[in-house]
Amino acid sequence: MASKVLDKHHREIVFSVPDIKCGGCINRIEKRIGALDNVTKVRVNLTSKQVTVKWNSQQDPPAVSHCLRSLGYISQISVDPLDTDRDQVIPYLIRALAVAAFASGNIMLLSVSVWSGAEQQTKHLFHVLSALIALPAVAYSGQVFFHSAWRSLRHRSTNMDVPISIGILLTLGLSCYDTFVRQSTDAVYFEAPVMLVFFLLIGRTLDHLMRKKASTAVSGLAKLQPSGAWISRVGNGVEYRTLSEIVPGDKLKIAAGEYVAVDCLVDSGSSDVDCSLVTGESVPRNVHVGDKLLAGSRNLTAGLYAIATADVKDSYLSQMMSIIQNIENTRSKGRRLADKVSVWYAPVVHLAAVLSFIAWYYLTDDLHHSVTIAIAVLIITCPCALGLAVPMVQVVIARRLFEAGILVKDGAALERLVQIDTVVFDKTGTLTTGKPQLVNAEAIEPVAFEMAVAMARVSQHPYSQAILTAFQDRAGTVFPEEPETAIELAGYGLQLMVAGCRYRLGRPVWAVEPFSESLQQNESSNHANISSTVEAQTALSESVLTCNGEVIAEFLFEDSLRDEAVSTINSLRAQGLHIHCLSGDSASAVKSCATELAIDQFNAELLPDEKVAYVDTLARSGHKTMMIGDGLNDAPALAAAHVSMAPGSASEVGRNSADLVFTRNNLQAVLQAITLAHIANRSIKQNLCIALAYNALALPLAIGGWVTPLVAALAMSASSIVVMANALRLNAWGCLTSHSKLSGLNNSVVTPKVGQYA
Amino acid sequence: MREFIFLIPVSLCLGLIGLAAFMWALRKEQYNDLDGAAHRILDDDDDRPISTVIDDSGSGNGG
Repeated sequence: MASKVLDKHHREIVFSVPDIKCGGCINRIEKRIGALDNVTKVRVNLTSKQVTVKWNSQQDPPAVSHCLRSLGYISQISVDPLDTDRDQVIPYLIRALAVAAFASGNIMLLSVSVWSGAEQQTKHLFHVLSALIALPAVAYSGQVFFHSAWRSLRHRSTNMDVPISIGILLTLGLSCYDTFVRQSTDAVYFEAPVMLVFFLLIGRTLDHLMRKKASTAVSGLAKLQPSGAWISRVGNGVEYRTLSEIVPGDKLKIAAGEYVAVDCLVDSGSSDVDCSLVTGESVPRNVHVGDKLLAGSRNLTAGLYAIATADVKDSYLSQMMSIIQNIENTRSKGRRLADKVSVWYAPVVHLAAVLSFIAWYYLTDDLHHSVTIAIAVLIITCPCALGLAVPMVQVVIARRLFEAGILVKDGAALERLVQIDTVVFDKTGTLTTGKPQLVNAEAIEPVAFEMAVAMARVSQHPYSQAILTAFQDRAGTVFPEEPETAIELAGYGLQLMVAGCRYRLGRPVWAVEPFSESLQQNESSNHANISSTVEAQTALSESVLTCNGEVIAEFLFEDSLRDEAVSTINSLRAQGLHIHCLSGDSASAVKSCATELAIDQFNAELLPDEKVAYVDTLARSGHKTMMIGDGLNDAPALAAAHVSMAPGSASEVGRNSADLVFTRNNLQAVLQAITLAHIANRSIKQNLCIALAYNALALPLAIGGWVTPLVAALAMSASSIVVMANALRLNAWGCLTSHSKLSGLNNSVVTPKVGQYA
Repeated sequence: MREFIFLIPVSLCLGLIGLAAFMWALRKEQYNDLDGAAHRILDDDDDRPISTVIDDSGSGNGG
């Protein structure tokens, strides 16, 4: 099992339990699991929705998953190897921030007494003390910037951290030289570099916390995917293994309703499989012995045994992952705004410093004074406010989006979102609900409808579910009793014997077979002869209800559009954006959907790399593309697009490769995200202007030699505070507009389709 | 001048104690579950009315 060895006697395992909501859940879970044998410690984390269980490893592991299920919680073992890296960055940043806060606070106090006119001796003492605090603090907390600057320089490029690091190091160097070597007190700026580190770390930490929060929320949605599978053992019985422990040749037991964990071949049984998240096909596929199952598809009607053909690393899912990796390695999505600014900002500042050094040295012939002036130029232009300008705004906007159910995984995505001119939609599960709906409910006779409902209740097939949903929508209807004899024949439909009559609900070809008692014996061999490709080439799929082979009702299904799809597409078009539709589904289904939405540019039956190629073609012709899709087959295109968005119901890979994820089941989120990105962009530009204007004002002061340590400290804090205040202004002002905008939206949260694992 | 010799080390030490306390709290994962702590404070353990013990799980062992 995927447990961690703590010491000789204890092991620890973490379960992800997405349904933990309140103190009651914590109480209930901790008490019940704590009462299990061998459990030494159990701790519920409400923030990450995880349960950590420690047990005595010399005895059998406790049945935690079973216990959680009996309490009504779906759980899965949490295996998240990617998370460990990121988890270490944030604690480091917080520690660095704490050290910088301590150091800057104390140095500031010492500096205030220096500025208010202490005696020469006291000044010197205070400077020595400041140096003793500042040097270790900067050495510890400043590493973030030094590392990043060094990396950037080694790749012969430059980013914002280069001028920051140069400024910090030169200022500290000069201050130490003046304090310890020259024993002078005129050009000592210990508070400036420490404060700079402190302010910049605030921005850096907020940025990371925002991403962490979004990725935690995204991984919280991962409950849709299996973290392992039931393997049937050589002898007898089954055991649960996590994904990484499954090897080719293992025999997987896949119950109806479960997701397929790795690519495999059906060994026994036949069933219907929902591939909508994997390939984008809206109609379930019928599988028999020998058919291939792709990881991520969902088994619908009957239990299957299948032989794994690949381990996790080689399955379809991982092929998609490697395409995505390749895309991410080979292309850049444009530089971040702040880095773009720094490309010309750093040379200008450094040139100014060098020029003022030369000018002062030429005029005064005083080497030390000239160096002091040059460093004052660097301090005063150190892009403290620039470093805060972008992350502050993005954090505020990301929070606003979070409240609207939109997760932003990277602040840079907001910058790219404002540049788009083309929106590419996937069809199944994005423009449509991904679930078929009964379209001719009105035309069906009530008696026949009730019969169909009675039969459909035993089935998980999407068509059965659609019949039930349609029936519920009829006002004042009472559910008929669930018949005991209805049986489901995978790939064909449902059959019910009532008083010698054979009712069948399912594929037309099968349902109209003539009825005779003798035929029932070799039913299954007959079915194999029926072609499974009867599905008409129209967008509508059909099931019929027959009595002894005679049709009594027809049911037409369609993967219907989301309610808000038309209005969303129209609003996007009104903003001047081009709309395209790409789908892996059949041409006819895509065409009818595109016609309804008046989308001219659509392509059907596309493979994942063809979607990428399409997005690339758009990019080459100068378009900035936003891709919106949910399937595994969309994931590479999501990664390739300039910016991408996925619904919370998307496949795990889809969610991970998208820049934004919307958790409320509403396409309007696309509009909201674009609107808020524009607000963020405006605010970022304002902030950059403020920061640059401040630098432009301060530069002449520095070159003129009027910058004392007091002036430098005041100017730096003032500009940072103005920039922060401008970003926070979005909070207060934004609340009003967001309420009026959001009130019209349907706030329903995606209800997860949960398979029965464990 | 003489006061500084006491006051500055004292104040710096106080600050360092605060910093150390924060670091300790961070290492002991005190900040890992801020939402949970807000709910745990409302939990009275087994402080329930005797006559109306509500069994929250449906099985006999309610507490």
